[in-house]
Amino acid sequence: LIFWLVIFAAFAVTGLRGYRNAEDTPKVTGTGANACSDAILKQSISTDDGSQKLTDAFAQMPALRPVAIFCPPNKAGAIITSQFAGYLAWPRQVWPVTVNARIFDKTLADFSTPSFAAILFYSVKPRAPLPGERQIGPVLLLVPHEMPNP
Amino acid sequence: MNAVSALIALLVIFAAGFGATMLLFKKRQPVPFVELFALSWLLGALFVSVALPCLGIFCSGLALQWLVTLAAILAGWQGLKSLRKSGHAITWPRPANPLETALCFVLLVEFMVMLFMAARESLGWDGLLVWEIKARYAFLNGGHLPLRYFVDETRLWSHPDYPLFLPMLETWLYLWIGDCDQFWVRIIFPPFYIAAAFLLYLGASRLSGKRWIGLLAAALLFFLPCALTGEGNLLAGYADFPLAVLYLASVVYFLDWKREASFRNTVIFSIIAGAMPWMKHEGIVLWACMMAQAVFQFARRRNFQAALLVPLPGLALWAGWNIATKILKVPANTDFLPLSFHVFRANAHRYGSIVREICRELSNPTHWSILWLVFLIAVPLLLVKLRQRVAIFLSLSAVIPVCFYSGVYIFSAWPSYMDHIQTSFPRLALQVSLVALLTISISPAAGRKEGLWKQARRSPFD
Repeated sequence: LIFWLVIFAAFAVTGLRGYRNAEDTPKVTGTGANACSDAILKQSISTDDGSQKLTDAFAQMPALRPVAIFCPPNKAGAIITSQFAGYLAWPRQVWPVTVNARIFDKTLADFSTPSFAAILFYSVKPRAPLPGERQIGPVLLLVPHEMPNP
Repeated sequence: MNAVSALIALLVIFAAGFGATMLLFKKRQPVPFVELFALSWLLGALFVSVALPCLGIFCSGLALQWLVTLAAILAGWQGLKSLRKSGHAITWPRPANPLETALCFVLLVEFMVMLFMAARESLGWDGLLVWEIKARYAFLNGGHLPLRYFVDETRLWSHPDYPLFLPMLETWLYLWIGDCDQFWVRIIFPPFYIAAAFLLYLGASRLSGKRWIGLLAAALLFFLPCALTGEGNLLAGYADFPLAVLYLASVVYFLDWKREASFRNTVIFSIIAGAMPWMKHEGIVLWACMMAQAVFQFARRRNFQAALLVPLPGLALWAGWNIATKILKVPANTDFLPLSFHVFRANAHRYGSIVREICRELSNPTHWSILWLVFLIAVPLLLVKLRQRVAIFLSLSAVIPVCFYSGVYIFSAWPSYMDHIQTSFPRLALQVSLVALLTISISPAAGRKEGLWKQARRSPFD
């Protein structure tokens, strides 16, 4: 019995040390409805209240047209940002596009069609300012497709 | 206001589970509070998660919410009536000596720390983008998932083919709150932890006949770091710990059935085990492990009717979900290559690296403390000292799934199968860790001459 009590004490001590050495996970800092997605998004787009900002931006677009998100290749945070954009953009589809600097302008031209409601630029910038562009935090830029006036 | 709505949603879940649990207790049978809590939560959560998608075919929004609430309240009312009429007495595990008092105090402190951690921990990547996303879209669609979600090629990363136990539970919270509130939806996770601690207490004290061993088992749960911290922990909204609780419950009630082959134990075991494939795809592996042993035992006792009926709830849920996803043409998971001899032969060289990586992971104290090391000591001891089927059953219940989960990486379709192991294996091992914890915690009782069965007959619950 003493043998087992010693074993269990070792189990408890090692377990407590495990808590101290555990990898960091996002923590909620407020009680808002988007507390969790904000906590994770802050790591990739470095802005508070990122979920609400993206939701508000999507709300101004037609619901049935998709959005493209341009990301540089091998950029940490690109996958999570594009997936979160998809998560928040429902029912719109969000198409992730990995852009290469050499063919950036051609890719941009391909996606600048009325079939897309907007283009999100994550950690990449168009060469010149685009009409209606809106900065969401330091690394995310939203450019809605200009709709012709009725 | 959202807090009050979330609490009401929880109470409705408990009401449904309470009704179902009370129906299963015999007249004048004492009802241990810890058992009532654990079963009420698990059965109530299962009821809500099945009722929402089934009734959601016919109605949505407020009508769906109130229909499920009405059914749950009726069940709870029936449970209360049964409690009054049948002379059931709810019993509390009062500590009988200073050791038990100390362990109760430790357990209480652990629960408080867990609640504090639950308030701070955010839902993780998969917690949001695989599980909660389904609840969010279901809520926005009146309580059931929109069909276009299942075939949306831009959202394949959210695994639309994954089963809906957890997402429907979260949808239930959203329906009551009236909003997709990620802060309050996390309230569903602490009851899984408390149910796990209570089931460990029940299982260990019944098997050993010692209440302090049960309390020790429950207290040790907190010292399993990966349950509450790091990637894939319960509070981050992953389904692995809830699946582990269902697996533990089915092991505990199967052992109860072996002790007393009652209708109650058979039904609870069958339903709880059947819920596993509804929680996560891997649940079918754990369910098959349980059913193989159960059907064998039923057939040995010439109870062929039970052998045929016990697998039905699990088969119904698993087949129902798979048929639905086939009809909806939901793209299948592409993490694994087809299970064929040709693929096995081509990838057999991976075996050595897989075993090394699995051993490295299971000996990682930051995730497991010394659980698997102690398990390696406890299993031979239990087998040698007891020479009873219960020891073999417990050991196999933990070892077989771990072996299966290790072997499946031979078929991994990831460019780097080692990355696949590092990403997913800790979560798979978490699913069987509670059974391993139960196994090691009864080891101190293994030295006694009479063995577990005879001690169990003197259990404080008999």
